[in-house]
Amino acid sequence: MTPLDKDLQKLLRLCAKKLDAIDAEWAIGGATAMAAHGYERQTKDIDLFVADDAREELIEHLTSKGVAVTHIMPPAHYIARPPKTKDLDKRLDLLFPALGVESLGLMAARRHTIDGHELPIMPIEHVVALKLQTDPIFDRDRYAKDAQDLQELRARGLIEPHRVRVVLEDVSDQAALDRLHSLLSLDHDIPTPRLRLR
Amino acid sequence: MNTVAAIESLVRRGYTLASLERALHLSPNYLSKVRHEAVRPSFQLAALLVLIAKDPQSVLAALTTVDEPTPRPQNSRASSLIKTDDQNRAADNVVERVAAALAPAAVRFAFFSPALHLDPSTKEPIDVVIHDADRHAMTSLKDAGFLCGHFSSALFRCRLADAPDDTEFSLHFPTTIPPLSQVFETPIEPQLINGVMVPVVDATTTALWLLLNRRPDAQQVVQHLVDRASVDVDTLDVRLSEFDALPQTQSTYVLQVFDRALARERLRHIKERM
Repeated sequence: MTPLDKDLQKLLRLCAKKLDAIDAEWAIGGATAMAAHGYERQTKDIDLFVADDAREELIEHLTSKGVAVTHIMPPAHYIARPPKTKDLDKRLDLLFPALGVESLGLMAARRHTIDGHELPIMPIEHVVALKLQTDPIFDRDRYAKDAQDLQELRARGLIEPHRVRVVLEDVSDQAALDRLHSLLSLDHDIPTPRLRLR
Repeated sequence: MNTVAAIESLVRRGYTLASLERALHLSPNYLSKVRHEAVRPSFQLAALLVLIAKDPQSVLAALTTVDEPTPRPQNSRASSLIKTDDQNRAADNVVERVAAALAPAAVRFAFFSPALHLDPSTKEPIDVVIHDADRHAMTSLKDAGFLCGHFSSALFRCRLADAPDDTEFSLHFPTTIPPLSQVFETPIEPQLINGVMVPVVDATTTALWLLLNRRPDAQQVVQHLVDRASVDVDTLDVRLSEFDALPQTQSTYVLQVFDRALARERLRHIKERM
């Protein structure tokens, strides 16, 4: 896995130290999690999913260390950027899910070594489930991007259908289950060495 | 005692918000937004307000003896509340510079913020909604000196290159999610903001957006707009009903900004208070 940007690493370690100290549930998701699981694509931001009960403490901690925390969609989405950065794509997205697949992913996170540090990573089945939940009617651009990621993950044999199905059944998302079925039915020629269809 | 209770207590005792803002070196109207929970103050400001409420005369007198602070680093959270004159000028400048960048490029755009309908002289960052077909707006803004960060195809964050983090604003390119996706379907009225006549998303659409999204302060801000007769609840009701025909969704991202059940519940509470 390509090393993370040094400024973001520093910011991530600041968060990790605090979150571990208060025994919070948290996990890295998004493109960084996909990279840790074996599919790397270009990204500048890191998605940090954090249990909602740690929100205030984390934001206060970052603020006390001189890190600007900006709200995007409170109380679910804030951002923290390395100080003095002129690249607004370089950031930690701080995501505080209350329910749903993101929360399940937090609880199921497992530690992986990233740049020499043991960090909790959202399981790939939760990353996949989240992408399958993207709504093609209301959110067509994100859907197109997520569909591309899903095809890449599938091509690398990183989608284990029964695990993804369990996650989506837990949140009773029939539309996403239907999309999983469609994803697995397409392009039978794509090599899927670890794919286990039920 | 919480921050709002502290402000209410001071107002009851005859202290004006303007005088408190001057004493605390805050931007004009900032405390009004704190009072109506349109913004969340820092712990430091909240604590100071509680101390003032407990003993206004002594604490306000003590504040007059505090030396002007050395300018803080721009990434400091506290600097977002205690604005320097330069920062206030920068906030004024943003609206003018955005308009100057977009209008000549034939970009369809409108400024968008609940604060604009509560206080047109607001110093809070003001978002911009841009027609989805006018993506060349990004080039115009970058040429005009704005830095822009990408979140999704529908959302960017921007600020002037030399401005502090807390002047960052959102650029929305609404495509499919109402009510912002409907903004350009009808003519947009211009409004005077910081001395410039610019197109502004109307109060009803802004209130609908608030009702539908999961911001915790949304209901209170809409209540305030209703109290000021800036929006009409029956109109909100009709506009919300129009969305019933749209399909349901379980997408976390969509539900953050388009939760119809939540909007209905909030509107019911607002009607009950009338």
